[in-house]
Amino acid sequence: MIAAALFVLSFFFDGYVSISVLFASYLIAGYDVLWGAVRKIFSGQIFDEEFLMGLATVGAVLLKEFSEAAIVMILFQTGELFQSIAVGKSRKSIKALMKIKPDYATVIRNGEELRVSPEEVENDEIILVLPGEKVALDGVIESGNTSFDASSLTGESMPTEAFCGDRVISGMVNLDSPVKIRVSGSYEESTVAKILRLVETSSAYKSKSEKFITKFSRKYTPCVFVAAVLTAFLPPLIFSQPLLVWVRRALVFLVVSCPCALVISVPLTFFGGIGAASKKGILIKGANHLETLAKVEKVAFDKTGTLTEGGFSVTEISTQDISEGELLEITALAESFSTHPIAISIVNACGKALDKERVTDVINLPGNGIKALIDGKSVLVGNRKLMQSASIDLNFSEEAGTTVYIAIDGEYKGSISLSDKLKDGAEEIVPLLKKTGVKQIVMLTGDNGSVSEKVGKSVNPDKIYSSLLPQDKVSIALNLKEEGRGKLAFAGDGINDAPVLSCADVGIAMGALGSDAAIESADVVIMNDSLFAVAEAIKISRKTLRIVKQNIFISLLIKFGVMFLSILGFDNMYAAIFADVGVMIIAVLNAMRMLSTKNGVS
Amino acid sequence: MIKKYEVLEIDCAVCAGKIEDAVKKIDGVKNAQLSFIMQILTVEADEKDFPRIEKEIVKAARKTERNFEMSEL
Repeated sequence: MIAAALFVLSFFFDGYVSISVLFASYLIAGYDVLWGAVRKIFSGQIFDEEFLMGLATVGAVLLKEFSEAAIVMILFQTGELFQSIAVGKSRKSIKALMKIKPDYATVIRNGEELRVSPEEVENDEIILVLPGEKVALDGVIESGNTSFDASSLTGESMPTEAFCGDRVISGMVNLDSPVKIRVSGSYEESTVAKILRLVETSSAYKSKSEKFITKFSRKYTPCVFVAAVLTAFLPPLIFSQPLLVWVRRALVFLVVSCPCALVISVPLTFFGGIGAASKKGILIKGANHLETLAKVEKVAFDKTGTLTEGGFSVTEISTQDISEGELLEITALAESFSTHPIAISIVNACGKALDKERVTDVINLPGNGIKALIDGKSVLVGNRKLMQSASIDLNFSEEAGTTVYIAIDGEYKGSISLSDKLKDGAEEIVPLLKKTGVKQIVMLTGDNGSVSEKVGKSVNPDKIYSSLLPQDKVSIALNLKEEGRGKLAFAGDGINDAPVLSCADVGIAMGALGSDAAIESADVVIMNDSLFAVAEAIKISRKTLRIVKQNIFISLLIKFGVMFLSILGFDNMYAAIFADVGVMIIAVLNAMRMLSTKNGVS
Repeated sequence: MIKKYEVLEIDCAVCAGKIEDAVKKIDGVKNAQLSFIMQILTVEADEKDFPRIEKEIVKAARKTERNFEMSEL
């Protein structure tokens, strides 16, 4: 401030008075930079911003360009101030994303309510969550009914209701009435801790652009410095040009030699993109994945649990020499060891408490069904293929829908038909993705042709692969990856398709709240199970990369432009300072557009 | 073992990169990472080495950013 005032004051004086006022202004604005520069010489870091700025202005002073030296210093300091404000602001909005961390948990021990840190709560303890408080650890509601706001986890603003016995996930905010929750697992294992770890480490996975910029910046500054030296001395030596003119031009080089605009804005934009995504319940595990996502041109969807709800319901039971109840119970017993969505719905449909000890020798035949001994009898539960391989004759044609056939001791006993509902957005997702620039969309499913055709008609992908075994899905994904240009994204529920998730260029796990396997093998985790989020994730990633490219382009264009003009003789210090701090502020502001992305990227 | 520190007064991303490199070069440091945006320095080293390493980190970092401060998280 004083420096700026002195600078203005200098206009009212002539000669030595003006010079000394300007010199004072320069010193006031720049003493710390100069002092820093001197220290840098001793620590051998001559390609440092302070040193280069110090050198440039000292050069100006020696050339008796006092007003230029002063204005460069003043503008440099102003720019630094703006920079720290902008960086501070973006840091703040990123930290706001971390607000899901619970500060404390109220645990009930020996009838007393104790307020402890979430890390101190042990498995199976009871915690009390009052309205307005965050659930600190995952668990099951022991008593009380309420509704929760899970928006910080899923981006979904509609409150969800939860009743006694329901699973609750840490990070949700209790809205209505107090509930007691029986904790399942330690804080370290809780969803919140996992998400926080994910977001924190996401910046460690650097994108190619970031790596490029880091490498580039290490070479850029020394190169510009060498160019400055050459500019200062070569023309005078070779063409006997006036030395002072060229030294002046070289000073411009020194001012624009800091690559900070790029080095700051690239990671900031990526982080902003990851942040914008996480506000919508999309967790992206690292900048590298965000970058790959932006290059996606092929998307493969798993059908069950991804395009459809995955929650099957039993629609029909047909029996042969057995009661409906008995058939359902035996099937449920056989399926009770499986995590497949069909198995879970049959167990749910049975509704009885199952005595798992009746079941022995369970063999899971992926993609086909289950073989087990129940009450000593050999039970086969699975699809038509399984029946055929056991040479059990099915004397009727295949029907549309998912049907599980049951055979006991080699004899056909009946079938259970289930149907699955299309998920919200399943019919819109293909045109939505095409609009973002995805060229090929395929659907993969383990179900037979008739079922997948029915779903395929509503979803309308470019291609449907049906009757696939898990390993088939992997080989199809590998083929798709090779085919043509662009990257392949695979979206699945992460329960039965973890291998495909990890072999695609980008694995997107849907509705993975609480599923460890998915969180581990996927690169992108969609917390709220919404198909729209897949398109949103791709849009956000493309916008992020666009801003990154804009920043790289604009910064380099202006910097090189100013250097070029200076060689031609337009050696303007104001332009130089603009090419340094001005460009950086532009780049940071541009990067912050990503952070302020609120309601959808359009 | 791994320790995390909050670092203050790092204003430029280039400097953060330099400090990260300098920390990695300290004897006994197995791995180090400085997140400029999160302002978090993560250091991996043997437990017994930490008191010495912490001092050296501050010393090395102040060469680049003279107001550098850090505190364990």
